[in-house]
Amino acid sequence: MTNSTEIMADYLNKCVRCGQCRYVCPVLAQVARESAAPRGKVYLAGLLQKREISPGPQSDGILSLCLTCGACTAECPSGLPVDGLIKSARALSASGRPWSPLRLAFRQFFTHQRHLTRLPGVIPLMKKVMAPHWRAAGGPARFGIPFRVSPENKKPRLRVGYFLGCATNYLMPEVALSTVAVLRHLGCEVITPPAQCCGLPLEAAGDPAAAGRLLEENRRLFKEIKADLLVTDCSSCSLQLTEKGLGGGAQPVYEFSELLVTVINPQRPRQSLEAAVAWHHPCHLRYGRKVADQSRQILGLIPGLRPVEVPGGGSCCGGGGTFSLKHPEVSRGILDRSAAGIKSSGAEKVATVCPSCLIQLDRALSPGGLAACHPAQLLRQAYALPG
Amino acid sequence: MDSGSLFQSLKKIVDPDRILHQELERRLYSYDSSFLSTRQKFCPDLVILPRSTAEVSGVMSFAFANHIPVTPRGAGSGATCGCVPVKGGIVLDLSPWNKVEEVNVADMQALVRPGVVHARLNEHLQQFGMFFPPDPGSTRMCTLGGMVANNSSGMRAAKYGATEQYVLGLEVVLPDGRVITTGGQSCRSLKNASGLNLTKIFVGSEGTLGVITGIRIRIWPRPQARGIAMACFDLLDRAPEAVLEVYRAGILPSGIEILDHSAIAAINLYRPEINLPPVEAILLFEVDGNPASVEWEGRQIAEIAKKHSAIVEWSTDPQRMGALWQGRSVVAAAAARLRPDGTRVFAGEDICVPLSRVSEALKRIRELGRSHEIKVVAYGHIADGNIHTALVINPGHPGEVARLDALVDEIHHLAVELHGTTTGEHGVGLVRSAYSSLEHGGALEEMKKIKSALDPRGIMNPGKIF
Repeated sequence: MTNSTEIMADYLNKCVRCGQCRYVCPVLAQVARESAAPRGKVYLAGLLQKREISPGPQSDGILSLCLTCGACTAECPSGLPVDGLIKSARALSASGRPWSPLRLAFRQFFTHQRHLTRLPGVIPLMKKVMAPHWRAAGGPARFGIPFRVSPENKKPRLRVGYFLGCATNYLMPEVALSTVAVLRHLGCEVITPPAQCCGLPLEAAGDPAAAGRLLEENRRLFKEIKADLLVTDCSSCSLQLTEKGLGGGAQPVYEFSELLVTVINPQRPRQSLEAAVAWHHPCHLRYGRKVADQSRQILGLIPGLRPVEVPGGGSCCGGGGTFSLKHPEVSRGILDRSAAGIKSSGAEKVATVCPSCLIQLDRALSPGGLAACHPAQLLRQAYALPG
Repeated sequence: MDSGSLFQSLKKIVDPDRILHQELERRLYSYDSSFLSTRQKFCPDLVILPRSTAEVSGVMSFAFANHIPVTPRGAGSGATCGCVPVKGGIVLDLSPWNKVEEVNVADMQALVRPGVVHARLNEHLQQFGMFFPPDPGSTRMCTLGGMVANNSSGMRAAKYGATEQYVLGLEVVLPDGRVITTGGQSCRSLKNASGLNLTKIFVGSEGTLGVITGIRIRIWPRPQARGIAMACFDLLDRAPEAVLEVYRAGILPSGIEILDHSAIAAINLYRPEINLPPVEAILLFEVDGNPASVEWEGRQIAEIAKKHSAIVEWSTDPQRMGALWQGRSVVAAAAARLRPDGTRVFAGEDICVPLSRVSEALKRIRELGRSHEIKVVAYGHIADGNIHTALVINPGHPGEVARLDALVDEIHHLAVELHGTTTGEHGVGLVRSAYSSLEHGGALEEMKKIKSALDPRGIMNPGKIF
C-alpha cells in the first residue's frame, strides 16, 4: 500500500455523505448523476481502497470526470481534501493493470518534456492539441529568457527564482516574457532555471511517483540559485509548488499577482490602457491556495483600466488541464456558463493568472472580440516595456 | 428481473442516456448520509434519471405490472436510508429534474420540480422579494422533493413551521402510473377546505405512497430586516431556561438554535474566523421582520439572556449573521473534525421533546453518552425541542459500533419516554421503523391500511416506515 492510500483510508471514513459538495461542483451541474458528484467519487475511492471493487475502465471513467478544481474541498464541512482523494483514487484505479499506451505516453511526455520539445513538430502539435485557438507565436519562452536577468543601472531589490511552467513556456511564451520583463522593471533579478514540469498534470492523472521525481529535480535546480523567493505566473503551478514545497521550506513560492501585491507593491504605470477588464479568479488560487482575488488590485493600478464585476464573482471555466480534451462537451458546458457571466459584465477584456483558464476562456470569448490576457501582459504594456 | 433486462425494457420509455445500469454507477446509489447505509449493501438494479411526469408514469406502470420496487431519491442527503433501495429494484434519481416552473408573486406561490435544491430556490426567489420559509440545515444539499417527502423543517420552524404548512398541492404519480393532482386540479388559492386533504397524506410519506413530480408551494414576502442575538452560557442547563423566558416575554423569534461545547469546538475548527467563545452552550436567537421590531425584539432578548449568560452579542451585520448561521448549519457534518481517528455518524440524531423537557433530555443524553463511552455533540432547534445529537465514533472499531447501537436505541426510547418523538424532521426511513409501533400504537395499523390502498402491490419504497 502506498503512502497516499494509507492517507486515503484515514480520510475516507470521515465522509458523512452529507452531499454539500454537490452544491458547488461544476461538473455535477453539467452531468447530473451521482457518479459525477464529488461525494460519489469519494465513495468509489472507498470501494477501491477496501478492494470491494476491482479497478478498471468503469472506475477510470467515473474518476476522470473531475476538474480537481477544489471547490468541494473548500466546501466540505468534514474537512476532507476531496480533490486530493480523487487524485489518489485515480492512482488506485490505475494500479494492478498494465499501463495503457496513452497513460504511458502521458508520463513519458511530462517526464521528458525538455528533450521531447526539441524534436521538430512537437511544440506545434502541443499547440494544436491544447490550444488550437490561442494566437501564440514563436518558439518556447525559454529561448527568449536568459538564465539571469538583472535590473538596469540599479542594485536588485530581490533575487527571484522564476518557475517557468510548461503552458507559459510552450503555449504562451508572451506571458512568460512579460512576467520576466515586469519583474525586472520592478527591480528584481530574475533567475530562470531550466525547470521540469511542476508535476500537477501527473499528480492529477494518478501518477504521484513520476510527479515526485520531477519535484526532486526542480528542488535541486532551485536550491542552487539561492533566490530570496520563487515565483510562477501560473496559478496551477503555484498550487502544486506551494503544496509540495518547491523551495523545500527555505524559500516561499508566490504566484505572480500575489508577489506583486503582497511583496513588491509596484509603482503606478504611466501608460494608460483604456478598457473595461473583468477578472477571472482561477479555482486553484480561489479554492486550492485560498488566495483572495488580489490581481484586481493590480488592475486598479493601471491608468485608464476599469475593473468590472462578473455577476456572482464568476465561475470555473471548465478547462482543468487535460479535462477539456477528455470531456469536451462537459468542459464546454461549464465554459459557456462562465463566459456568459463575463460577457454580461460589459468587459472588453478578461484577465487571469492561469494559462489553462486563458486558453479555455479565449475559446469562448475571442469570437466575440473579448480578449483574454495575463496581468503580466497588461503591466508590460502599461509600463511600456519593449517586447 | 436483472439489470440488463430492466435496461432493455425501460429504454423504450426513458432516453437510455438517462438510465444507469453499469454496476459502479448503480452502487453509488446505495447510500444516503445514514450510518446504516454504509454497513449494509443496498444496491439498485437500475437507476433512472427522469425529466418528465410522463417518464415517471411510464416507469411506474412498468414497475407495477412487473412487481418491481421503486425508490424515489433527491440529493441523498437524508439520514434514514429513506432513499436507499433496501429491496433493490429501480431508483428514480429526481435531483436533475430541478426546474422552477413558475413563480407567481401575485398569488404568493410557486410551482417547482422535485430536484430543486432548497438554497437555489431561495436564491431564485430573492429577485421577487419572496422566500420559502422552512430553513433546513442542509439547505445547500437537500431538494424540495426530499423536503416534502420527509416533511422537513429546520432552523426557522418555531415561527414559520415545517414544510407541510407551505405545500398547497402536489402532482403525484401513483404506484400504478396514474397521475393525480392534490389540492385541487387547477386550484391556485391559498386555502382549500374541499375534500380529504390528500396533500397532507403525501407530505412526510417518504416515497412510500407515490412519486412526487410537482410541488405547488406557498411563498412569503422576504422580511426586511433580520438580527441575531448570541448568548453564551457557562452551564448547559441555563440555556433552555432563557428560551422559555423569551417566549414568556411575548417574543417569537424566527429561530432559536443551541450549540453545546463540542458543537462550538467543531464550528471553530471548520470556520476559525467565526470564533465562537469556548463556553458550555450557546444560544442563537434569530429575529426577523421590520427594522424597528427586529431592533426592539433583539434588545429585549439580549436583556433576558444577560440574566442567564456571561456573554451576549447582538448583531444585524449581514456578514456576522451569515457566518453564525452558516456555522450552525454545517455543524452536522463538521462534528467529524472533533476526532482525528473518527467521524460523525448519522444515527439517533433527530429526537424532538416537549419544550419543558429539553433540559432533562440534554442532560440525560450527555449521561448516556458517558455511560456508553461515545462522544456526543448536541445542537439543534431548541425553539421547538428538536435536539440533534452528533455521535462521533471510529466506525472501523466493532466495539464502538456495538456501543453506538445501544446508545442510539436508548436515545430513541428516551424521546418517547419524555413524551416526544424519535424524529422531529428527518423522518423514519429504515433506521427508525422499529420504533413506529412504540410511537403510534394502534394508529400504525391504520397507516398501513392507507399504504395498502394506495400501493396494493407494495412496490413504493418498500421496507420503510411501517
